[in-house]
Amino acid sequence: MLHSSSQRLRHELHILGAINLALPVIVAAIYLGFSILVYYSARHNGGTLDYAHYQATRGMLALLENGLPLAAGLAAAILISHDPVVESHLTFSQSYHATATLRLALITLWTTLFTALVALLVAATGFWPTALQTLSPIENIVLWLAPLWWFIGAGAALALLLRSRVASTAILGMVWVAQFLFKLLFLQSEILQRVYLFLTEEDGLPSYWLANRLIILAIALALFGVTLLLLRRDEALLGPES
Amino acid sequence: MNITMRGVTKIYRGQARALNGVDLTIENGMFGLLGPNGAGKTTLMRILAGILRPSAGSVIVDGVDCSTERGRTAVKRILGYLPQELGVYPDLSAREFLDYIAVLKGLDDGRRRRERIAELLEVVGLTDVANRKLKTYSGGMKRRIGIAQALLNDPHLLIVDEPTAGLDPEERIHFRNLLVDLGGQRIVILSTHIVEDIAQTCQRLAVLNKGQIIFGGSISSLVAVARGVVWTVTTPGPKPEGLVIASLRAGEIAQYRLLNEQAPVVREGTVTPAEPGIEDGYVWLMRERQGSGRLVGAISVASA
Repeated sequence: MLHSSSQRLRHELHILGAINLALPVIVAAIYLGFSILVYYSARHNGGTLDYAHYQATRGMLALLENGLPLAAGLAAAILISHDPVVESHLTFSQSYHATATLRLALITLWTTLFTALVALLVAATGFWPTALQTLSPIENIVLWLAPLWWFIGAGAALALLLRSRVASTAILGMVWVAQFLFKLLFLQSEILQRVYLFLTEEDGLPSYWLANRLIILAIALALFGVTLLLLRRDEALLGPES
Repeated sequence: MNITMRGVTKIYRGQARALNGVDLTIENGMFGLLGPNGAGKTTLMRILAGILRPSAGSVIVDGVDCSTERGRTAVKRILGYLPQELGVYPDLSAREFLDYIAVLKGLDDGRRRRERIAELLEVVGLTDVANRKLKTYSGGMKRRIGIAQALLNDPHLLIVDEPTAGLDPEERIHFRNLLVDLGGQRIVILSTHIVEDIAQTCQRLAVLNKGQIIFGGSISSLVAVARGVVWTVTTPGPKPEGLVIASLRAGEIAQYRLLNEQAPVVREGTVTPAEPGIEDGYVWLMRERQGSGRLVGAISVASA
């Protein structure tokens, strides 16, 4: 039994695929590269050490709050939107719902652990924004956990609703871009500011920051719930009859 | 073991009626389900496999009522299913893929699992390439892996949906022989629109058209549907009247095999009655059905 469980886990990781698992690492490397570039560019252009450090800090915060969450959301959407073996699997006594939930749990666990590790490294290397150093350990976690889980939940739910890898990842990308394009609109509205995903600023936090994080976390959990419900609709998981 | 379907109807969202009051009884052995594309064969197979729930009617498999979740789960334990479009995980090898499916099917004993996989790889003739990634497999090899995964739990009921579509002639023959071998010990339901596949493998069949069973019985009774309407015409003249099944031209002279209620009239050449085959029976049945809108042939289907 134990052997078959470990075999299954090994197969599931294989099915998740190296690209899906590597996506957060690749995104982290890109953000890190840009942050280093910005740091040296600032120094090269006569900026002070503090200014260059500030720029690199912004890059690291962006990685945690919007880079890794997008990567995780895309990985979840790609994973859930299409399973070539779904029709056969629906005839097994082990439910497809359980398999898909396990895969979603694995991708959530992996991206959460990786983001936590990145956050620890950022803090350990002195690139954690000064204004955020007064936050409690729990607040430091919800800073990145809320958008991370929101994107995973949204990616998985969209994938099941649309049954299309392209459509679900495209919409997720549009939501991500819209957060930057309509930042002012979000922040000026008392309702929308509570659900703005990238609220954390390296210069200081608004009074409703924690409420915002908790609301986003609650929405994320609701999206996970929706995903689990959608996974139970066996007939909707099938493609059309040829 | 037997399967009894009574009044099975399936209406999809959007009111598309895929099946309309299907009655069918199937017993041990190979059973063919024939019908044109879009007839509702896949819907019927999916209902039998417990993937879809019928909108109305009942499905009883070996005394187990499949309208309940418990019933469907019980049937899934004795079921092997090869869908029309079998997907695989391309980065897994055949052995890894089968191992994964075996775990999902509840084969927890590692040693027994490995033995069963080795045995099935031998049966489907893929032992030599078992460690190759599935993305390197041809369509025929993937089909064989499909049948191997369906057999992992040694099913009493095996459902194969359009298994030979896209296979070359040699692979098709290999596959048909494999199905016949398997049919000796269990119910094997073969759904296809390829008449020849049924003719070569099944003794009993049903024909499905527009969601209804329009024929049920033995191969010989389907052949008999076309008795007296099959003609061979050899003529240098124009194509004779009737439903041409096959034609062969040698210079000026053409030979036609056609279906017509009366002997066709030709100015030059010969007209001789011919022995019908299963294809003639099927085509005549479909034509009769379209022409008259009435059912043709025996509707009560019981596989011997």
